[in-house]
Amino acid sequence: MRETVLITGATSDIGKEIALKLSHTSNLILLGRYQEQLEQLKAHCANSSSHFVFQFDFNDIQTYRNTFADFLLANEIQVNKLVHCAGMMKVMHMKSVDLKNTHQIFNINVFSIIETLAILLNKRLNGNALNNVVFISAILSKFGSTGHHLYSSTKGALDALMRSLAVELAPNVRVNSVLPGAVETKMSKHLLSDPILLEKLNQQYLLGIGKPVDIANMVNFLLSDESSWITGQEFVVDGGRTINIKNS
Amino acid sequence: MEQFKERLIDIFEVEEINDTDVIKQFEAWDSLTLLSIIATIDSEFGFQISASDFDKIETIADLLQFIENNKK
Ligand SMILES: NC(=O)c1ccc[n+]([C@@H]2O[C@H](COP(=O)([O-])OP(=O)(O)OC[C@H]3O[C@@H](n4cnc5c(N)ncnc54)[C@H](OP(=O)(O)O)[C@@H]3O)[C@@H](O)[C@H]2O)c1
Repeated sequence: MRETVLITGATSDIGKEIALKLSHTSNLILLGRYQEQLEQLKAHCANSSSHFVFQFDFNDIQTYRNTFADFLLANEIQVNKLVHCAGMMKVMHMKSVDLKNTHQIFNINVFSIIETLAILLNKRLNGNALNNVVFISAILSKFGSTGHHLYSSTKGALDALMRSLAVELAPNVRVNSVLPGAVETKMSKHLLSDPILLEKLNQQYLLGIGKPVDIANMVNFLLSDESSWITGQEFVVDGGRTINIKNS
Repeated sequence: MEQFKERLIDIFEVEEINDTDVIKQFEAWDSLTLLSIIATIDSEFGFQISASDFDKIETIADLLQFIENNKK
């Protein structure tokens, strides 16, 4: 039987690649902010008629729980696997941070997935269907960088959440996170369009800058039975960036 | 707008700002200052100014006018 996979941030560049890959073997719920982009992605997926789209903006986190629960009930769907790809980056001096910035990035990167998990672990709504969770974290969870404090702290929160969940939910649910380095996407394009910075990145990244498919392949492995004895782990996928002591 | 001006004073670490001040000539100006101003505008006025639009802005007066035209 085909399982159902919920992908948050499905229309992100990395999320899209994950969706296209998984669409051959699973039914998908594509979650994102823009109905039209979600419908387009659905149409590009294999078996397109077996997937659902769910439009939601995590800035409205207060209403998310009920809206998402209603969506599951109305469509009689149970979710087996969850990939959390939605995420935003904010870069600024620490002294310029205000509570609104902080709430926004935590809503989108962290509270969104906590709310989602609370629903998917509710027996009345989702039975015992959930069996696998993957978070897209970032290498900035493990390393420091000027201006990236908010982003790093959201990704660190995801990794810590991942480990406690892996313990609480074993052996029924496996939970892992993937920590990408720089991948060519909308999020990184401002960095990669600066020639001086690009030159530096090319020296740091032993295997070059990543492509969305490099992350999708790892997610696919973690969702599959090939990784059935793996839980509670962080997987760095960064083309050798963080082990390269010479160019750090 | 007054609150935003106060935040600019903190960002640039100066005593006061004037309409004719040229943004890139503040001593505290760097790429992270730019990103901090972008985040502050998003937070105060609910829209995201792109780095390329910001590049066309010269003085404090230009910045305030741009915000006036684009705020939600
Ligand atoms: N690119 C990199 O170098 C890199 C490195 C490390 C980790 N990552 C992580 O990879 C994940 C995917 O990012 P990406 O690089 O593919 O960037 P992206 O294309 O900019 O994707 C960002 C995603 O977050 C979603 N999102 C943003 N604000 C949202 C909101 N208010 N409500 C709901 N969804 C919202 C976006 O939804 P819409 O599609 O609806 O706009 C989009 O799907 C992120 O978690 C990012 O932190 C990326």
